[in-house]
Amino acid sequence: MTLDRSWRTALVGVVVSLFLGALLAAVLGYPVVDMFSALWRSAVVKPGRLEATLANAVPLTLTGLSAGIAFAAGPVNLGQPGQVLVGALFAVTGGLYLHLPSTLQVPVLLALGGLGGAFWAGIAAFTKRRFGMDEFIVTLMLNEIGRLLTDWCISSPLQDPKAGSVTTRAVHASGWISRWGSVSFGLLVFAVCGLVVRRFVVGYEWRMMGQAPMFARLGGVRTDLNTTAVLLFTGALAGFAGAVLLLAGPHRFVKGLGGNYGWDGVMVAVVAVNALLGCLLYALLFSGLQIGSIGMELAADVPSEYVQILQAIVVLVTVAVRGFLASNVRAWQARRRARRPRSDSSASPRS
Amino acid sequence: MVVVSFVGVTKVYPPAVRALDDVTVDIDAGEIHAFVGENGAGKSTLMKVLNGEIRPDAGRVEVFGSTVSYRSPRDAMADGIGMVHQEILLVDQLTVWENVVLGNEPTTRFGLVDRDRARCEVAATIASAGLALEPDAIVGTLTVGARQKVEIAKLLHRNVRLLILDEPTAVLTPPEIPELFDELRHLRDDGRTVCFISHHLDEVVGLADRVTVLRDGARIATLAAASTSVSELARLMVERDVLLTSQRTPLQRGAPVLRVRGLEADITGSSSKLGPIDLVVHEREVLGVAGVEGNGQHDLVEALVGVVDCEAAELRVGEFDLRPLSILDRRRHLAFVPSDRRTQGGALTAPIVENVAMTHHRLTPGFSAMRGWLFDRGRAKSLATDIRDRFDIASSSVEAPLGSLSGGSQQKVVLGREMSIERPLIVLDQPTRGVDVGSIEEIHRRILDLRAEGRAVLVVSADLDELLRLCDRIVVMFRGRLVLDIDADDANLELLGRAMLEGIDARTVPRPAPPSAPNEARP
Repeated sequence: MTLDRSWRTALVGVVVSLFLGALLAAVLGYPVVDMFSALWRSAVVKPGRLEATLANAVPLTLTGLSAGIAFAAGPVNLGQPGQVLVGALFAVTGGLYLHLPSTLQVPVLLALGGLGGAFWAGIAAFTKRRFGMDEFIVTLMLNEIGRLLTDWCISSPLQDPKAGSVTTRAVHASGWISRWGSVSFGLLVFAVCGLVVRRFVVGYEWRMMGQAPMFARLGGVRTDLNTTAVLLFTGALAGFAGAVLLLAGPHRFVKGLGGNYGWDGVMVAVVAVNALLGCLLYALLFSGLQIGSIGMELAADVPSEYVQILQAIVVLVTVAVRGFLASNVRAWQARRRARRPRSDSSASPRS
Repeated sequence: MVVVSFVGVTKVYPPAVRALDDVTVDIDAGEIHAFVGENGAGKSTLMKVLNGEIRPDAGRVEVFGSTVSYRSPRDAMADGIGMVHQEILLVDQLTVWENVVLGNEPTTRFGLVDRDRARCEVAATIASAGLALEPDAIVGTLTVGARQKVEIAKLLHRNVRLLILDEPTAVLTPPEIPELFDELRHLRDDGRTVCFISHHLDEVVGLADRVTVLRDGARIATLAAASTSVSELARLMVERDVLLTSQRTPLQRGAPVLRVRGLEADITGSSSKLGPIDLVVHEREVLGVAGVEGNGQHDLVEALVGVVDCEAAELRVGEFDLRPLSILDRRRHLAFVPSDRRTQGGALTAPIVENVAMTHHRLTPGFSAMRGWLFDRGRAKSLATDIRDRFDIASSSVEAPLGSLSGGSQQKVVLGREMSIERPLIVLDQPTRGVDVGSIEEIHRRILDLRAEGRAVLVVSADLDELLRLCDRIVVMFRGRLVLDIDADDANLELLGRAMLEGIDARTVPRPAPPSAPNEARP
């Protein structure tokens, strides 16, 4: 039942924001109909575009899950950008120096990516447990350190001497993954997250910790261990995103590889209110907007940056609609019921 | 003269909770008007409607004869109506007068805060209202009772003529209550009107001029306080005669279960230390711990459960030494109902099912599968349904959030969970605080059932009547030490009250003349 309501809210939010986006485009003098149809065609309809949208949604979903699962359990992991980069660094290092058959190479490199992300988040977990440092600050600051570290690695020890730009050599082809490979991996990780959070005892403890930390602690939940576990787990998710970006994308660590996937993931988690399925669906939406933007620019002559405005509108409107519906629909229901006589309201607390 | 009229006020919380149902009542100028009712009867909601925090879905509120439609407490304030909430929000670092003027500062010609004038005005307000407050005291150093007075002074400084107090005495220590009441009477005699909410019927009868009883959102009666009684009000509240007598039957107590020797710990928010405490609770025995809040009872419970570190020569349940054990491992030997059900006893946003599964999920076989990895929701659901049926909890589904239940029902869920964690010892910290009369009776019956089953029960409570009704033995804590250990059959309010307030065992200390019973100072 609550699912129904949140679905409705999300749908209303997206429709309203597309409408506002259209309105703004009209005011700016863009061809609204052409713009949306070009966006739709180049994100979904044209050959190969649906695959591109789906594949692009994978790293977004992973970073979204990373932020969402952490927020829902309590620890504030805002280190996705850094964890993505370090994950990719681990994966590229493995890819350059390991030569296993493809069936082994791909899982090993993906696992290395997860390990890298977990390691980077693990630093925050360690300083939290050992020194009581706030993971919110530490994960945030590790982003910049992670960026500098990976920039140094790809410009010095791992740099491809033959390349003109700052990049590593390409990983061995046995470690490459296709778009569909990356989509299947994304779905697999999503399923595992669902299992862990909804069905596992630790997931139950994480959810209780997020909702009432003292209740969980008094009930016997080891909150310090769980905080460490959450940071490692969500760090690994962001690290997977880094590995997927590398292995399904340029196959080499180019400067700026992580793009904006880290922060976009935090945004996805915020609009999805940390719901797992919500993260997946919003990641698809944002991915479609991003993929469609280039085609939209070519076909309708609307600058591709307009998509960023559209994304911002979706975020703001979704959050606002949620608040608006929560207060006004309930008020409306209440007024309607207040006018009815008492007898048809459900049983009073005591009969 | 009528200040405020509620006419047919109705408030519905979807889907179907009628928090207020066609409430019509007048509040006269210059009276103290009490609102009583069980939890969820609508007292707070009605007051929040008057204060502009909640808009009614039907009906209207008239202030001085004209219909008002407040959109916020600010609008109500403009009409001279203000409310003191249970949670007090003040700036700890500032002085009393600074807090009082905050947001309403008198300014000089140059737009600067006129500190001298502000301080003088506040001092005058405090003096004329007869509040026992020092304007220059730092708020962070004040007791809860004094902070409440700062809130009152804040309203008076904004020329509030009608004050609303939501359970003002719930946060006060017994000696502070008569002081507050004197101040409220003073305000009334000064021409102001006071509305207050209370769970303590004796207070209501002693203080109020008129009393309105609410039940299930509807107004049941409005009575002159002088012509009613505690038992009449209690009957109107629950529509039956509440048996406020002990249901305790004599039982032969068994072997010792909880043994505490030389327990010492820090008391949070106090300079005094807890202990050394020596304590034994036996099978088939309810031991009550009484004391004014902040004298270490809560810290004793936390030390037993393992939330805070403690030193002890002995700390055992049965033959098990609790000292080296973690909270989780201690929960193998004891069940525990914490004092605050909203943050410690449960998670209000989580479904009832997930609330009853806590602790079971690690310790009770059957709540997890696959070597403890998988959470068995089906098992939790059957326990939740079982608790709902046995405790007669009104809820549409055990998948509904705990917060959708009334306070009493929430507490029954927590108690039901801890009873189902079958342990030789059960520790209950304030088991009926903020719970309606009907639920209190049932919770008491359940506690006595546990005793009859042979368990050892430790109850911490600020309610002496409750302890006298439930316990076989009562100990009183004063500044972290046990000052009285008495058989409940030999105990009375006077003995307990003197131990709580003066820290003495009045059986051995000669009674001063003229005899005074501090607990009877509570009107």
